[in-house]
Amino acid sequence: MGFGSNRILKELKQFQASDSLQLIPSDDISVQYVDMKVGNNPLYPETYRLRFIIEDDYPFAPPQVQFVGPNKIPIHPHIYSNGHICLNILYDGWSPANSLRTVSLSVQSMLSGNTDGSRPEGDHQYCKSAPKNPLHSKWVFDDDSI
Amino acid sequence: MASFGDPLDSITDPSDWAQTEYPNFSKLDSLLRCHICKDFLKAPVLTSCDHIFCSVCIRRSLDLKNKCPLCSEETFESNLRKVLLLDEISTWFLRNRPDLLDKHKPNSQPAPVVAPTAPVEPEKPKEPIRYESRKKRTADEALVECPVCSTFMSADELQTSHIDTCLSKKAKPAPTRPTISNFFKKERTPQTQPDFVKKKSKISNLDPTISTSKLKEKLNHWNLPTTGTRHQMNTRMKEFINMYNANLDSVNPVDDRVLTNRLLKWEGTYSLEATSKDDDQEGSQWRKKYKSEYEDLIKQAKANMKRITTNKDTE
Repeated sequence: MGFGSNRILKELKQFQASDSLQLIPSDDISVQYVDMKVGNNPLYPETYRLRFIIEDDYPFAPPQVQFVGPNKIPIHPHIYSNGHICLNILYDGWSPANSLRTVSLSVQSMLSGNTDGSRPEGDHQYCKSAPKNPLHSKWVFDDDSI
Repeated sequence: MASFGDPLDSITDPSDWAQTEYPNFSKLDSLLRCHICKDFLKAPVLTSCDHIFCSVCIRRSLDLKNKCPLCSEETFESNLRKVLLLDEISTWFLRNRPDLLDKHKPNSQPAPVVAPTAPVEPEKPKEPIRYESRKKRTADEALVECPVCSTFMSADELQTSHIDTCLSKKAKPAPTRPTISNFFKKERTPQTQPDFVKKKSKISNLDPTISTSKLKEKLNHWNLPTTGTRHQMNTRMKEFINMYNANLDSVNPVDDRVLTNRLLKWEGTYSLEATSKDDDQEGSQWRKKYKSEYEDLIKQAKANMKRITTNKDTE
């Protein structure tokens, strides 16, 4: 990782630990984990873990972002049970001005504002055929309301 | 966190100011950073939507998507405008940052508290007294300028004593008032790039349909290696164009050979899907080929360093 690694180091330093977002120490700079809590929403009482896989072209291309175990995958109409998240800033809407922290905040606010305790339509179907890397899925962003 | 504990220490961050006596500096520190690389702005440019990034960062970003990373408005490379003043400010801050941090370190041992009863000499600044007497004088009589050394004084003083001494010293000119021309000789005009930049123009973006032989020609033209796959050459040429064009946006641009050097360093750390063996070979060949030029550059750099330090001393 040329350009990206220096930038990741900066981000790690900048990632001020708050109560609700916690950067998990990692030995591999290109794989980072963030533990997330969502306050004030009874749908999400637990701590959820986001995984970021940072590739060479980061920050010009988005990192791979998804929820991972052993924690539970939060139930949300835009989060598939395999952990993939349907959120445009993670794919087409990515901007190099985003960071691990801003992405985590976006996902967090997506959870905290949600009242719909269901999985996306076709969740089962998607998880059966989905590529491992969420960046390789074809996403359609049609619902701005949630 | 242990594995990169060390590199993290060398990373500068606005939070470095939190522990100082002036934590507000962290705001300035973060304002002077590029939103793409999170580092201090280098050769900053302004987009048509009024956002500022490092020239090379926004060029790399626009290679992939013609959108501003901050506001997503459509943005084109051709609309980027350099902001030399900001380059100077950012460079100044970066240079003085370690010193500023050091000066604002919270005192580990309490500062020597000067007892108010200590025999403090009444402040007796030398300059103001002279200034006052001069000021008084201006009130009574008009000042005239010495035709030799351009110093202002009373007509009386000029005629009775000054003019003779001044003329006798003429061979060894007395320290004159700093004139505008003196000022500019010492330092380059602010917000101005060196002359050699004006002769250069930006390289136009790489046509993705360019033939491989044309691409090799282009690489050769800029003294870049033509090794590797088509994809590698493409990436190399693109990155060189970005670096070259960004260099022309800098208030302190570097020689093309320095850029080539940086490009190779960048290639070394950035995997262009080449095997490490290839890289090694390329590297050693490259080093052999440009040995003398490297040596020249090192000599130049050393000379520059010397000049800078002596300049600093005389200032």
